[in-house]
Amino acid sequence: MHRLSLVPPRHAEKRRQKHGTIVAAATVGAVFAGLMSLAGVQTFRVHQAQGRESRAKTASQVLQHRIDALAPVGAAHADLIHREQDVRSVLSGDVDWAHLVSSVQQAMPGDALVSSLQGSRANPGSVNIAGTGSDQNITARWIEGLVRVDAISSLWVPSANKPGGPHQDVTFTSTATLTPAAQSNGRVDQYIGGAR
Amino acid sequence: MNRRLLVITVAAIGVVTLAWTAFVWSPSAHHLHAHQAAANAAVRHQDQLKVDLSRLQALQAKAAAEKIEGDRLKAALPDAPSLDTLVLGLNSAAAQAGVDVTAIQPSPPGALSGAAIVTPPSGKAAGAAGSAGPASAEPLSEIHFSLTALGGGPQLLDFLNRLNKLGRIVVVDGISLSGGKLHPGGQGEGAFTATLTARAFVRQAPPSATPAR
Repeated sequence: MHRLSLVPPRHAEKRRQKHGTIVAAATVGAVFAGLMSLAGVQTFRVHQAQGRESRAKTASQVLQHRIDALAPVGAAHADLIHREQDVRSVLSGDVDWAHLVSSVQQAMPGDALVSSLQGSRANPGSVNIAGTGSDQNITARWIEGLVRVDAISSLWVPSANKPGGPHQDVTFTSTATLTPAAQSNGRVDQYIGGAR
Repeated sequence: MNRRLLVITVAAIGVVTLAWTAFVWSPSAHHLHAHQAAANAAVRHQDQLKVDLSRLQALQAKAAAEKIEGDRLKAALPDAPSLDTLVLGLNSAAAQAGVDVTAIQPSPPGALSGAAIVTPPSGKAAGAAGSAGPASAEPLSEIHFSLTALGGGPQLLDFLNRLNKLGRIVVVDGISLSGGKLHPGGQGEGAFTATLTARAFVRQAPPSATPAR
């Protein structure tokens, strides 16, 4: 069945054009609305970031005040660290002379005597010891004994003299170089430690 | 919709989008990035402050112990020459060891001499002690002094041990024992004269002329 239209074709064309204009305007409007929605979301995110920044700055200010209040503690700690470094510095290479002399006494032959001892920690550290004994065997046993002292090395006996006469003692001198074992142990710990 | 209207619509959408991008989106994106970067930086700063605060709080918990150690270190390396306390300490150690100190000859504080250290000789690599300590963080000066003491062998060894335990650090660089006789095992014979060359330290820059106090 064919329907007849009584509206003139010009009117139909106008209506179609009007409809098309409305659709076009609506489309542009919808796009615009969508874009503005995106802008709104963006603005919301900006506000979020601003809020996060503001909260972090406020919290930082509070923290900074607390840190400022504790600043003397930090300064005292830094001073302590510097002083500890100074102690380590001045005690580096320190020689335990009492231990060195005791080690020599323990290692020397039972029938020898030390008549003088000079030591220096100048580089390289050295020690010169003069001793006496009844005969030259003691000189040999002196060398054998002192070789076992780990605080000295390069032991040498440049002279061992026995003056003429039946009851004269042998007088000998010996030189040696100090080793790292001559250094004092635990002296740094005597001053440093306990706080950590 | 006819073709002309379609073109106009597309053009309008394009113009709106371009305008929106130029005047709305770009500025807001720039703001967003700037604020996000600032917020991230603020949060990082806050985190760093938290770490600093917790470190300081931990230090505060140890403040009492550090104060004690600090006082000990100040006595070991005083900020002034304090020659009087040095002499008192030396004399006290000598008295306790039964040694008679006959002479003390201190020099005014001077720059660190970088006194020699014991170097490991070839063939005897004993000892692991470092041959060089860490660099000093503060200027230090040193008081060189020589000390002469009279006493028996065991007493002089006791005196040397007591010097090592003084509250103020004294480093003995050289020693000379003569006059008596040291026997094996510790007992001596006769009185020795001990001459020590030593240093005490002051935690201050070497002055050109520093008073004794």
